[in-house]
Amino acid sequence: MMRSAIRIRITRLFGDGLKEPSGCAPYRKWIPRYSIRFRFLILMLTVLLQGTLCSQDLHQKITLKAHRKPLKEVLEDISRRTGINFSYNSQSVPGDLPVSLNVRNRPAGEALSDLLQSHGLTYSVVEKQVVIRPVVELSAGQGPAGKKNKKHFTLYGFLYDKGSGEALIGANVYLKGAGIGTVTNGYGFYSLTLTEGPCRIIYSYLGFREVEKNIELNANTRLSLEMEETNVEMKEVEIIAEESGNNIHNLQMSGFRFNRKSLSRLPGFAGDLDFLKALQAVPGIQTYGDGSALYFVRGGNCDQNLLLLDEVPIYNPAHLFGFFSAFSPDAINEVQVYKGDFPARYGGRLSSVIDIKAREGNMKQFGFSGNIGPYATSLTAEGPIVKNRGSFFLSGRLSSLDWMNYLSIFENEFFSRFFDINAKLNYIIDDKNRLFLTGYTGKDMFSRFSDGEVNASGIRWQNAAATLRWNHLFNNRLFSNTTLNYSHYSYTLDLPQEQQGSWNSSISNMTLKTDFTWYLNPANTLRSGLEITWHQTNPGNVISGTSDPSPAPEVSRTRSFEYVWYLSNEQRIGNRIMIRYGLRLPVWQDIGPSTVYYFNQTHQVIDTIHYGNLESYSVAFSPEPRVSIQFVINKHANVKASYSRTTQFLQLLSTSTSPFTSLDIWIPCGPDIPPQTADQVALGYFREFPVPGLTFTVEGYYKWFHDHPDYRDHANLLFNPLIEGELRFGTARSYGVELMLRKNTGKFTGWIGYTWSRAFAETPEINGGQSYPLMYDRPHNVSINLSFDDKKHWSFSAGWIFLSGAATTTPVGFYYYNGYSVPLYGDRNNDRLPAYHRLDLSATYIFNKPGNRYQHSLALTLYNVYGRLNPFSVNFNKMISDAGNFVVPANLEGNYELVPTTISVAGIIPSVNYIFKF
Amino acid sequence: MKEIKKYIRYLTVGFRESAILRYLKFPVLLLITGLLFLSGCVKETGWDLEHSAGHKIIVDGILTDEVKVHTMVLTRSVDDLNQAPDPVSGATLMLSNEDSAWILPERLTEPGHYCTPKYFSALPGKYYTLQIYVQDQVFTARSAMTEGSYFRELIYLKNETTGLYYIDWVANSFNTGSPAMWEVLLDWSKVNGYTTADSLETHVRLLFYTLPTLDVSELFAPIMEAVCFPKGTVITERRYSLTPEHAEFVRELLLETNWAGGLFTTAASNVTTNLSGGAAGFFGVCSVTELSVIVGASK
Repeated sequence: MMRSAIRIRITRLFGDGLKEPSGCAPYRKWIPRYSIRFRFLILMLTVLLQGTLCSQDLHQKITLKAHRKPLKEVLEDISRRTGINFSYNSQSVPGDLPVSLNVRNRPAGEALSDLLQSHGLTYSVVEKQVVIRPVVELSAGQGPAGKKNKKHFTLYGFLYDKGSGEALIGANVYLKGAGIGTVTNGYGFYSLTLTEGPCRIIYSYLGFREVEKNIELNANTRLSLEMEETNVEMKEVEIIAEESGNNIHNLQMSGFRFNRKSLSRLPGFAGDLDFLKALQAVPGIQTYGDGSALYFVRGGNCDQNLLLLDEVPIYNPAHLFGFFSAFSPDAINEVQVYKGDFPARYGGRLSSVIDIKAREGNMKQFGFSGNIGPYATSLTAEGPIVKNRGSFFLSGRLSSLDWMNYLSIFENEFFSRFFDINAKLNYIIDDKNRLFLTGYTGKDMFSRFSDGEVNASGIRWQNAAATLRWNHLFNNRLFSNTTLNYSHYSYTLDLPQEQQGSWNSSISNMTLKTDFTWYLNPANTLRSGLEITWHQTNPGNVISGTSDPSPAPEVSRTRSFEYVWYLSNEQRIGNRIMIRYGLRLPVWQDIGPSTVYYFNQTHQVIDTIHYGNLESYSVAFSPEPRVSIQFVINKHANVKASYSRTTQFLQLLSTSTSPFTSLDIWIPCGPDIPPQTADQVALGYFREFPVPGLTFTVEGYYKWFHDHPDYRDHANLLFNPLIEGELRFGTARSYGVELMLRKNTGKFTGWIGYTWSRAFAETPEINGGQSYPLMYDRPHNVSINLSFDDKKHWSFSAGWIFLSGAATTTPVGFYYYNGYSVPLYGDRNNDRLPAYHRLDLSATYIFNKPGNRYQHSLALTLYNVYGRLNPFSVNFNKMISDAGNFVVPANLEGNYELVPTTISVAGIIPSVNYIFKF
Repeated sequence: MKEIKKYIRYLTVGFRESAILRYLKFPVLLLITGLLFLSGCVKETGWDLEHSAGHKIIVDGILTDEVKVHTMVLTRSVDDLNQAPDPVSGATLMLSNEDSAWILPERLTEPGHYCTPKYFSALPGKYYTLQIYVQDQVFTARSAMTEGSYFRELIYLKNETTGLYYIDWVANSFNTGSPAMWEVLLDWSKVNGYTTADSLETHVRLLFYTLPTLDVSELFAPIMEAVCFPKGTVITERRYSLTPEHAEFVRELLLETNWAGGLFTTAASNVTTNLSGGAAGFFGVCSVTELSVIVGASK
């Protein structure tokens, strides 16, 4: 069906007598429907008539500055200044298209070319009338020209959310029917170089209405679009964002992506959308247990995961030990997960990259939203600083757990509080430059009462991060992003009051980097970047006064530089094969001042050297080749394979088997600690089904870990200046198969995943040198996440997860010493805890009619619906007291009888949250 | 502001119109929520253990600078929890320092208990070596004494509800300079009302430690048995000085016993030992200082 209209800007002589209604949609309603012939006749008559009314002079010079103003207004402005008359079809040339122009004393014709070309428009003079039109409108069914000797031109631009003006990340842009496409980068930019001629471009993004553009590509063309979010009024078929077939050309394997909309469909914890909980349900990513923010990816330890918030690393993404994620859910725009096949721009961790993009804030209107719940309350404000040019976003969350103390939920033993603040500013300087400033801070406090005294002992941790980014478009094919960021993480252990002190460890880094993306030609996209990072760690020292006459020994702080250069190319070979290859070259350099202990092979100190300020004492270099290849079998299926090497220079030292953040000591590689490396190969098969949005993925992987760290028995990590001597190095390996059936559109969405995996380590001085399963070796993992949204008032979601029990070490005997019953152990991790499983449910009722600007809803969530007590440890040291409690015997003279016990964290946790937005 | 007012008015209307909210009683719901939150806990469980440790020789012995009979206890490890250990009888124990050597005979009434001569005391500055011969196996340990020191008397408090006393403070748990073990012996067998009670019900032995290290699992250790005692209880407080090696043994022992099973638990593994040959336990030499108080007596 065609709807079109003739829209004529009458000259000054006629004033503004024919004003059209503002806004595209009402305008369309206002326009009568004409036949094509009739419209053409009207157009020609108008042109002829207008041609007689005024003279056109495209050579007259004009000065004009406009930033993201509607095209209609800019043309009116030019018309006022020059007397030029414009004519265009509003159906193909939207008057509200935001355009920018900055010209000084330039011929009007040139200015007009600049203005129109970047939006896929052109003009011609017909009888003294300037007629504006798309480069060339095509009839349906035309594809790319395939003739030889044709030129190539680039179609490029940005994709935005029409409602908020925020960039759309990872949106698909592809040439229909040709298997050629790209996705928008982290800033919504795309560049697609195609053969000249007619082409039909599809723009699609999950949860947004698909846009199809027919253009004649005969020049480099900038085409920025605002895509409209599908609202609840739309029919199901209209929310299909991704045409069947376009996923087939996505080269990335071992990845997973959530946007805000898909996250909102998952059952979170306590009424909060929780990206960490969502991640832990992805095949290949294992949770540790209830209330834990720790996650293990493809046999890697939990410190081998890089978590980035707007490109700045966040070292502890947990609140309340992991019950809540550290970021307010309102602040998250997009989460991209890499379990393998790491693009060369990512590095520094062995096992995963979680790249989170924070929301930018609404460019068009002010908005407020909030989530009020029994455990935490969050509030968000956003809006334009300068309309369509700059915006702000501010979100804060504060725990509200104090009532639990009043109700003795914590049995007056514990006190807990947390907060976080996310802030972001962004400003479009001009068409080629944009700035982003992101800030984040979050803090947790957890104390244990002792005889009614607060803070008898406790734990505090705090993240603080800031990043300043500058996007620059050199030309239609070369995009750059320069980032300056800073991140600091501090972990404090409040010692018992008798010690009058606290222990603190910290890590911080400051990074300056530039990334370039060069869309070289239709077959090659090059990415390269340079990075320099300044790292500092404090492996743990007493920071305040202590009554101890002999103070704790000082553990030397570390300072390091990290230099990185990378280069990768994404190359298309024919229509079926795509290959990405790259190399990342990181160099690590430790510098003074620092006191460095050198150990021999039996872990005894053989030398101690103090290095002066900026004196280099250790350098490590580890080239990281990466390659992946995709073969498209047919329109609905492909196979992929990848190899990647990763290096990790920083490690988190921990002997904890607790699901909680219990002691965070980051330490860099150095003379006694080699950098960890891992090699991963993966093979995958991807298939789309005729049912919209239904996909199936299977991937197998094998991973080798080199210089894998483990610890001597009962390693002492606190107050230990010789902390490096507690480590033991060996190798590890993991392998597995991951299957996933996913449906991401329609009323019913979700996925079913199954993973079979194993993870073993072999360390010469541990377990007699024999291979042993790692704590997170959990062979079977099933996750089911299902959501139903009736598109009116109700939405429901359910998540069920099953994991084999974690490997654990249990006694093979006991002995008695000085009144204690002491366990005797055999092989490491010789046993398994009971299997972990949990069902979460949530139901949300939206009070408003769909599409209403004011929205409020009530969400009921039930965590661990059937109250499964999932143990995270088994112990053999408690007896039952006279009061029926499980306690550790104190009287070593008495005849106590011990019983085996397990500890679990969470029973059923219900929550009712009130969510509002306006 | 206008927007906010409008929104509040809108919300009010929304609530009035909403049938679902009429049935939601927030206070009740919050209470239920609270009662269920963190209802996870410690549970007794049945657990099948693998029995592959064999029956190791366990040595439990501390020499002190007190002049008395010192006893070395030799037992064997057991397969199951609460199983009584078998004593190791018939072993030959030889104790020596740089100057002398002693054969420790087994006490006839208590198998597995090997005693020093009657007036034996360990001397500072000497290294003591314990050699144990069990059939064809030899186990050896070596240890020395660090200097003892006087200490501050423990603090006990009265529970006004029960009228009984409990120990509030013995020593700081962390001190990098002088690690120690504190043995607190409570005896209320002479207190009126308890004189005919069973000895086990009127005698308590508690151990506290001052260590040069601190562990998170220590700070968040599981709850310990509460011990209360009446007025008139005789408290004997004994401080054992510990060598760094002995302190490390104690730390590991506590990680596997008193501190295990809390919220912040660490990887389980065998407690270190200073015994060679595959035996477990520890042979230590300590300097002991002691003081006594009577609960409720005016000072």
